[in-house]
Order: sequence, then C-alpha cells, then structure tokens
Amino acid sequence: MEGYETSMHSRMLKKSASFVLASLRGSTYETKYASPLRSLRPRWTAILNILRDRPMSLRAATSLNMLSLGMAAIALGWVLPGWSAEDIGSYEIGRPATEAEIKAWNIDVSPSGEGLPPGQGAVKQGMQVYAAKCAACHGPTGTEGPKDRLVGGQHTLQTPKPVRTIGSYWPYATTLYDYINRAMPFNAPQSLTPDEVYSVVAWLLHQNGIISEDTVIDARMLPGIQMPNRNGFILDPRPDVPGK
Amino acid sequence: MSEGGRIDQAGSVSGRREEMRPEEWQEVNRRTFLAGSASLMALGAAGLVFGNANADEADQARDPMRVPGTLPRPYGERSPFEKLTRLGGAGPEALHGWGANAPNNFNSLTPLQDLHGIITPASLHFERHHNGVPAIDPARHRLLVHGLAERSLLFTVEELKRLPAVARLAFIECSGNTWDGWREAQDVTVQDTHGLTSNSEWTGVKLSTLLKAVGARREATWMLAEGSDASGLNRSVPLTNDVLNDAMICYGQNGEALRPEQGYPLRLLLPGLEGNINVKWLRRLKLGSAPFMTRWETAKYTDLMPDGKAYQFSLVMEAKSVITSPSGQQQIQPGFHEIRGLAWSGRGRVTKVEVSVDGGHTWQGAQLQEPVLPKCHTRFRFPWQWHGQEAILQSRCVDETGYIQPTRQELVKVRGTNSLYHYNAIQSWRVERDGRVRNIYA
Ligand code: HEC
Repeated sequence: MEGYETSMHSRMLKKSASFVLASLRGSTYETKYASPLRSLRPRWTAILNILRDRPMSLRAATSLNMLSLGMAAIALGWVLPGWSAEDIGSYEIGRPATEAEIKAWNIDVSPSGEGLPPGQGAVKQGMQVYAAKCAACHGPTGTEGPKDRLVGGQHTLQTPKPVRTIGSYWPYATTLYDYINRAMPFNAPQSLTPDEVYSVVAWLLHQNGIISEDTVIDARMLPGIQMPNRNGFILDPRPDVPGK
Repeated sequence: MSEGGRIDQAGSVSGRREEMRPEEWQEVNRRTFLAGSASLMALGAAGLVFGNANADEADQARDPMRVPGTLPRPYGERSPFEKLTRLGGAGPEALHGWGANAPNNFNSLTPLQDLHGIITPASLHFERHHNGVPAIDPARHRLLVHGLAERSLLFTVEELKRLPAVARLAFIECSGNTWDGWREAQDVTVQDTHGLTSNSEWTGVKLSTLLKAVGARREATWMLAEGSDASGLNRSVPLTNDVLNDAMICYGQNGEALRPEQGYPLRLLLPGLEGNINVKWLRRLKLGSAPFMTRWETAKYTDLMPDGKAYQFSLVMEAKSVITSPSGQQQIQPGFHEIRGLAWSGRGRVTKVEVSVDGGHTWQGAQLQEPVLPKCHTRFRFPWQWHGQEAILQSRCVDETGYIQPTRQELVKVRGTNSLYHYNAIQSWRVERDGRVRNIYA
C-alpha cells in the first residue's frame, strides 16, 4: 500500500504545516516563523511532489522537522487546532452510541482477525452445512453452479479464460468469514451461527486444497492461513495507458 | 380535501402507467374530470356543444384547445406518450423468489440515447444492487460513526439533515460499465454499452463534518462504509485529501429524497470513484488504519492483468466519452444530424471533446454545453451532414489532468481482455449505407 502511505504522508505533512501556522498565530514568534512558512504555502504541493519521489528517509526527516516545530509550538502553550477546530460538537447533533449498539453492528472481520467471534468449525461439519444450505446454488462440490463457482481455477489467471474462485483468486481467508457471515446464504443472509460459518469456511478452504481435512478453524488460526493468491494484487498504478 | 381523494384515485392507476396506452390515460383523466367540479363540467359541455359542427368529431375530441385539461396532481407524471425506460433489470425470474434461479446480477441501464442535458431523471438512474433494494423506514434508520475516533456517534436521518448541507452535481458510473467492450459485444445499443453511468445533483452533509464530530484520530487513514441491504455491502475508503474534500453522506437527489434504488434514506457519495464504493443504504462508517479487504475489493472490483496480477483499489473512473446519438441500432436518414454525446472524468473537468466521422483519421472539436463541472457528465454537440456514405463516428475526450481517452487497441495492449472493469476506450459507431448504426471495434 506504498502509494496510499505516500499520500497519507503528504496529507499529514500539509496538516502539520497548517497546524504550525495556526499555532503561531498572534504570538511573538509569528513574524519570525510564520511568514516564511506562509510564503512557502503556494509551493507546498510542489515540495510534496518532489518529496514524494525522494527516498523514505528524506521524507521522514522532513516530516520530523515539521513535527518538532509543532512540538515546540505546543510546548510554548498554544492550543492544538486538530479535527475539533470547527467542532460540530457545538451543533450538539448525534448521540453517543452505547457499547451494545456498537457491538450489534460491528460485524466486519479484518485480515488481522479483528472482529472474528468466539467459536470454531471443522471441515466435516462444514460439509453438512454446505450440503444443506449452499449446494443448491453453488453445486454439490462448489464447482457446478448455477451461482458463483467457489472451488478450483488455480493456475488459470493468465489464461484467456481465468476462473476466479476462493482457491485461485481470494487473497485473505478472513474475507470468507466476513462475506459468508453477512451475505450468505443468499436467500437467508445472517442466519448462520458463528460455528456454522467457521465450519463452512473450513470446508471451502479444504475443497480448494488449502487446509487438510482434520483442520479446525477458529479466530486464532484463520488469519494465519496462507491463501494461494495472497500476492496476486498490486496497488492501482493508473494512469497506465498513454493516450495519443 | 375531497379533490385530493379523486386525484389519488387517478394517481393510484399510475402504478401501472408503464403499460397504459394514451387512450387509457385519457379515459382516466376523463373520469377524474367527470368527478370534478360542476362548473368545469359545464365548461366542457359548452366546448362540445358550440364546437365546429362540420369538423370531424374525433379530431375535435383530440384538439387540446377544445378540451379542458387535467387538474393539478399531487405528484407529477411524464406524458403517457413518453415510453423511455431503463433496460435489463433482474429479469422475469426475479419474481419467482430467491431460489437457485434467482438472478446473479441485479442491474438496470440508463437510456442515454434519448436523454437531454446532463441530469439523469431519478427514475432512469441506473441501478446496481447485490441482493435487492431494501425497504427502509427513515424514522428507524441510523448512521453509526465509530472506530479510530474520540467517540462513537449515532445519527438519525433528521439529525443529519439539520447539519450544514452541501450540494453538487456528480456522475456515478459502475466500474463494470462497458465491460462488453473487453470481449467485443455485437450489435448493441449505447444503453447496453454505456448505460451504467448516470448524473445527478446530490445533497447531503460532508463526510469531514462527521469526522470532526467524532474526533477522528490522525491514524484513521481508511474507513469502512457499510450498507444495510441484504448483501451488507462493505467497502474500504482511503481517506486521501481528494476523498476528504469531496465525500458526502447524501439524502437528496435532484431536489427530492434519494430514490430507494439509490440508497434511500442515506448513501455515501465519493465523486469520481467507481459506483460500488458509493455505498447505498449507509448504516455504518468505521475508521481504521488499514484497508479491511472485503470481498468487494478483493474477489470483485479488482482488474486482472495479462500477467495474472490484479490492480486493487483502482477506484477512480478515468476520462471517457461516448456519442449517444446517432448510436447503436438507430436508423438515420440523409441530411443534417447533430452528433450528441456525453463525456466525463473522475479526475476533474473535461477540457476537450473531439469528434471523428471517419474512424479516427481526422478529428474536430465538439462544442461543450455549459456548465462544465468536475466529476460530472458534460454534454457535447457536433453538427454533421450525412450524405449516405459509410461513416465511423467516434468521440474522444481530454480531462484537466491532460489524460486522453485511449483507443481500444491502446487499452487492450496494456490491460489485456480479462480485467472486466474500468473499460473506457473510444467507442465506434459505424453508419452503414442504408442508415443503420452498428457498434464496431475500430
Ligand atoms: C439462493 C442461492 C444461494 C445460496 C443458497 C447460497 N449462495 Fe452463495 N452466492 C449466491 C450468489 C447469487 C452469489 C453472488 C452474489 C453477488 O455477487 O452479489 C453468491 C456468492 C457467494 C460467494 C462469493 C463467491 C466469489 O468468488 O465472489 C461465496 C463465498 C458464497 N456465495 C458462499 C455461500 C455459502 C457458504 C453458502 C451457504 C451457507 C451460500 N453461498 C449459499 C447464491 C447463493
């Protein structure tokens, strides 16, 4: 995600520069530091663009300088104008969500495993869940359809007819939990228990040759499963096609 | 309000207006009218009695100057003579429940060939959803904003409407728009090829306003947006400067509430980014420091390249244009034609559109209709005389970053034909000697 890191980095850099400016406002240091900094402002974007092409170490050093300037400002006792500068709190709109409310909705699962619930599932149970609740749409072995093919297709991505499945294309096993838990079965979403989801995930991973038949899946081990196409993605490099 | 009741009666028929013929509609109007005030009835009768006795009676009945018109209606309808509709949709099998035969792809396409200007009527905005359009009571709907923030807040729709509002025009284009272009679909219309883009005025609250409200932390560089439909659609949004400047939580579309198909009561709008990430029926925004890697940004909406690697988070919709008329399957006559079309770019304004009538050998500048706005459909026009010769019509656009819309050949050379999404090549329409227009891959 180097591209986004860079853009995040420029964002922070811009922010810290604005922040330093704001914190100097009205102080005796204003003329000394603020005017030179302000005169640079039109060129920030240009500077950032130059920095973007420099090695990480140089970028880090620059932002460190900015940061220390910011620290100095704080030390001198000026208030931090962060996100709260034009605080919407003053509108007093929206109310704090309770823990229970957040918990009920916070169902997403990250590649780190964050969000996975307690519970577990074995391939064998998964086979039963699959036969009862999934096979009608995805086929008895996950390859027949009529809906999305879930199994097979490895080594087809470079061919004229790529077959994208869990085994050939999906980079993270955690995504399987997230998606099945929220959206499958298609005709009864969010009807499976955590154990049912874990077990059907286990069966699908086994069918794709990723885990052995005796594997039991839980929150601890799911994030560690290495998916065959884990390194198959690159961050958007566009514009990649030169027009004439 | 007895009149309101009568009008409702007529309005209730409008539910199946689609299948009504103009004569039927007149019948409905007549009934509404007959039930109307006595003085109006007297007027109508007078018109018939004192009309020209020699003229054909049927003609008279159709003369709008001789028949009093309909009464005001609480909610307007287009003329019954207008038949323009979205195309596709889930298909007839969708009516038969959600078994193994339920459709995979829920979408419908905008009839670009017959629209004017740059606004897509809400009723004709393309649709794409992943397990049907949910029925949501706005009074019960909530938006939760939480994660890497000082506090977690819940907003009602009414509360969001009280916050300072912003509005802008923006297109939304499905990244699968024109995906038949990769595999060279034969003899199709511009609605088939390009109908997954639409343009509206959107009203709502800026995302940054809500991020300030919850006190988003500096490490919050990504945000999960989640819909409350049966697919629970979830996408990771990178919180770049561009996104923070533009992103909105919308409740308004073309002056009224969002349509259910467009996310009623709340949707995320990320102008210029692929349709799927503009999450509809929005119920939750969660701040994080890394992408969440949902199915929709891994298994789907990633662009497979010839070397087997796939572009990920290819969010921006690159500059694209298309001639909407004359276009595929139309039949034209010799004489004057105004070549019309649309151009747009997810990176900003369209700065130039050129038209070729000879398959790209020569190009001439088209006229851009004001206003030309960033990340918004732009209408272009080009006058043309057709003398019955074979012609290949093309348009190509340039945006404010200097990006030039590529030819299909240029695009395929880099990306191959397996990438499914983000096809934005120059579209070619061949006008045959008999005036038939056909899509070709020039
Ligand atoms: C009624 C039919 C139906 C049933 C039953 C069903 N699915 Fe699906 N499934 C679908 C459809 C349709 C899609 C594609 C949805 C889309 O793309 O929006 C899908 C997609 C998927 C995908 C994503 C495939 C990919 O590569 O993107 C997975 C995984 C999946 N289903 C697993 C399951 C599991 C596990 C079950 C049983 C618990 C199940 N499905 C039951 C219809 C069904």
